[in-house]
Amino acid sequence: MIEVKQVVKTFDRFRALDELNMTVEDGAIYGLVGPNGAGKSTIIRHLIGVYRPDSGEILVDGAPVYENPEKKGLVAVIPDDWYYFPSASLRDMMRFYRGFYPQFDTDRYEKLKEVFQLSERMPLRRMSKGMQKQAAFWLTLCCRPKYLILDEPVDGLDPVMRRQVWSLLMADVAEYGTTVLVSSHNLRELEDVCDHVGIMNKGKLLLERSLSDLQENIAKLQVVWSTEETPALPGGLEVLHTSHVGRVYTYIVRGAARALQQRIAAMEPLMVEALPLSLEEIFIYELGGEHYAVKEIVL
Amino acid sequence: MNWEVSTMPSKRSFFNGTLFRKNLTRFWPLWGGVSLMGAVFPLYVLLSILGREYVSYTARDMGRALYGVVTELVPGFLLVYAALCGVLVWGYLNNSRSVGLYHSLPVDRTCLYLTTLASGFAMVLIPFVVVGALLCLVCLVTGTLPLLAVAETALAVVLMAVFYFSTATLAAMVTGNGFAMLAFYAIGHFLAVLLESLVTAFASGFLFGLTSLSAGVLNFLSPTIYIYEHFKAYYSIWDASGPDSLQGMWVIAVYALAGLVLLALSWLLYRRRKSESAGDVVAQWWLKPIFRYGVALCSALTLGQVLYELVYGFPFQEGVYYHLIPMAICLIITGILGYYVASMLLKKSLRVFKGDWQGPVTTAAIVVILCGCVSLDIFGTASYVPETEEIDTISVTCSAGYAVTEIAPDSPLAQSALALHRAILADEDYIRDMTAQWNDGGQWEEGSTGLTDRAASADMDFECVHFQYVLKNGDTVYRSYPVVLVKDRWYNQPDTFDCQLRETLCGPEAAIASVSPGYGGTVESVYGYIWIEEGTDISLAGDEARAVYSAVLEDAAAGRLYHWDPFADDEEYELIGSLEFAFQPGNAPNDGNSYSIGTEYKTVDLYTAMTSTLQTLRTLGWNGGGLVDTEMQG
Repeated sequence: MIEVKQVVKTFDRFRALDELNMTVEDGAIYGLVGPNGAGKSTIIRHLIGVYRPDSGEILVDGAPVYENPEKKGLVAVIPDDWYYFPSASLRDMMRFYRGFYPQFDTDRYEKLKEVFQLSERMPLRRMSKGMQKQAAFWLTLCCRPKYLILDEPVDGLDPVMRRQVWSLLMADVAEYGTTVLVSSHNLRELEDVCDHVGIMNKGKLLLERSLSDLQENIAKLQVVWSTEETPALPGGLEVLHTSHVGRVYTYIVRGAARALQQRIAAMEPLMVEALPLSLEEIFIYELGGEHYAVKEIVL
Repeated sequence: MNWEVSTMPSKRSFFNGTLFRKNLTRFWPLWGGVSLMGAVFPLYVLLSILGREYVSYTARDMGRALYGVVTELVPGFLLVYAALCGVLVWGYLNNSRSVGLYHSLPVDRTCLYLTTLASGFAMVLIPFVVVGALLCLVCLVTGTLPLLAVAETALAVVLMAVFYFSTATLAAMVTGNGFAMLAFYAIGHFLAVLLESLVTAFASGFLFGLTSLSAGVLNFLSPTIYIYEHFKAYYSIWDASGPDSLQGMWVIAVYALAGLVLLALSWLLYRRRKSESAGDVVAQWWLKPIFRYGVALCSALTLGQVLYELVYGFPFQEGVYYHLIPMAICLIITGILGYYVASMLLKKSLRVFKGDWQGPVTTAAIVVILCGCVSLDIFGTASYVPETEEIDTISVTCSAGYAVTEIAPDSPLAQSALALHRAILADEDYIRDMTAQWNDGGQWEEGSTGLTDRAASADMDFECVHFQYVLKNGDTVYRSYPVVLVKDRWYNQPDTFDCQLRETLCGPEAAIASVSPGYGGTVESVYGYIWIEEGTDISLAGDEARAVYSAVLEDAAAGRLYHWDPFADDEEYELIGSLEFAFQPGNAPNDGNSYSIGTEYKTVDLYTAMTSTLQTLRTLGWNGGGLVDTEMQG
């Protein structure tokens, strides 16, 4: 399990992480989402032992990860800007990783040649961004990490390779119980693979739930009222967003869809319907409450 | 898969072979190229030995060659090469991506530090190992292997490598930028002497007698300079069978020990270093204010003086000393400029002006206090005259070229020099006033004649009197006083510095000192030759030469040697020849410099006034050119 407790990190008076709490259960695929500058990459650098928090605790497998080689050996990362030595080839980097990760699986490396059809001899700097990403996946998967941390992992990969990579990850999760924490802006993709989601903003975690809980706890209601005037909604409803087209009103409301639908139905509208929200919609509406909404600006 | 097996806690590791090999293989062009260039040295030796008809090498020659290289080439080479190795192996700290990779690896920072250190140190030493091995091979084949010299040289190289690479490592730990690392390294190695020179030059603009010559008391903090001063090869020139040796090994041993301390400090800094400092000019938070104010102060001391000279010194200043308020203003302006430049470097932004008023105010306060302290001479530097018991030797020189040098402190001449120094200090106001008027072509205040007129009529003379005290603790004190000499004071007022200067530089003691051998003590034998214009070269040895030397001393004691006198008529002195006395080495100190040991020569110009000398020459039967006879008869 990865536990982040009350972590604060400040860069030149800018509070990048603000008493952040986060928990990633073993075996979970945890999607970490948030707007640009929310602190996702910062917390990831803490999780892999690169940054030391100003205060708070970061535990991996029950122990602090910073300056803890034993726990860092359980973690592998594919950062957004993966570093390779300027003149190194894939095989050079393989030897480098093999020298640090005792559980590095050379057999797996050989097998993955079929998946990632990259030249082992070509300098990595000559490869395209997508090919470099594939190389990063190839090596990282061979490290057999217990915790795999990915920052924008499929950025630059073609659709086929994206599916291929996700398939490999899911297989590891299923077979070895690998815990995956993935930060991405591609919420549609995350929705397909994640079982837990955390939404970050301004260095804090706004919410952290399983995806199913999240989707069950927020609903999109489409209502057609019978009167010209819009009636007031029942008290106690936490409405995140309201819009309408003609007499068709759309409400984004926090709560269980079925219960909400029943409460609105009691007001006898012409029609009420509860629709499921995508992760992207949840992200947008949750952050809308944090003053991070799409602004309608006419230029 | 069972995680507990594959990631079982292991013993703490302090070294990672993969990283070590990676560093060496990544940077092989540097150490390989340097090794290749170094290999030219043994190749040259081999080719020279093969051509024995011109050059004959012995083990002793080889040893001397090694000593020469290790004392004259290696310190300078290591100063540069260790920095290059350091900037390469620690380069991963300067890039956020590489920092991310290295620090996410399952090793702790101690392991990373020690492994990188070992690989860097190996890179520094590999060229020496290659060159040394090839040279030993050549020597073995040709039977010229100087075992002791090889061992001493190897030890010296290792000690210097430890020191230089440790300083490069420390420089890498305090910054997150490769260029800044090289700059810090270079500045750090010479900071002490640079600062001493800057402060001395600044203070000499305010303080009476202080010169811009720095005493060099901080040279030990500029190791390359100190090593070149103290780590030398000693060749036994006079004793062919005597051993050659490296002198000053203790110096590099002490620096190597200091290097180990710096490595420990670097390790502590690395453990506390923030990964996010990659790319920063200064990577340690506590160093940032020191950097800001350090740059501000250096900027004030250098640019401040330049600005002062440009806008005030040249057009308006009277006299040779700085004026306090204009200088303080120049220092404030340039100090604040330096402060903002440092802030720009730290913030990597040009927007540093808004909101930060405390820094510039503090800078201004610091430079004003500095300026005030220096001009008020709170440490009493200007009035300091070393006590007799502190002094090893004294030298007094005037700009006319006349001097007494390296005199022992307990001699009457030395006491006269000390009295002269005190007299000059006592007359500070008078001297300042006179020199200011002289410089500005002003009017003579007391008399009716203008200063320039008096100088033109040979009643006055401008000179610069320099004192150099070598103290017993090894320090050197320099003082220099621009003075205007007045004829009346020079001859007739014994209490004035003018008269004391005459007595010191032109008296009998000075004359005797000028013809005495520098190392003092008993002259065991005197060899000499005499050459006089119109005559033929004559050489005298043994008792005859000693007799001539005694006569010269007699003339010196009687004031018949030529001496400098700005107001004297030199017509009574007619140059008729020159005597060069050779003194066998007496109790010359073995200071490790082979060139200072040996025969010491003293040249004495022969004038018609030197009657005792001329009489002795005649007695000895030399009568060349008839001139001596003429003078003797006269």
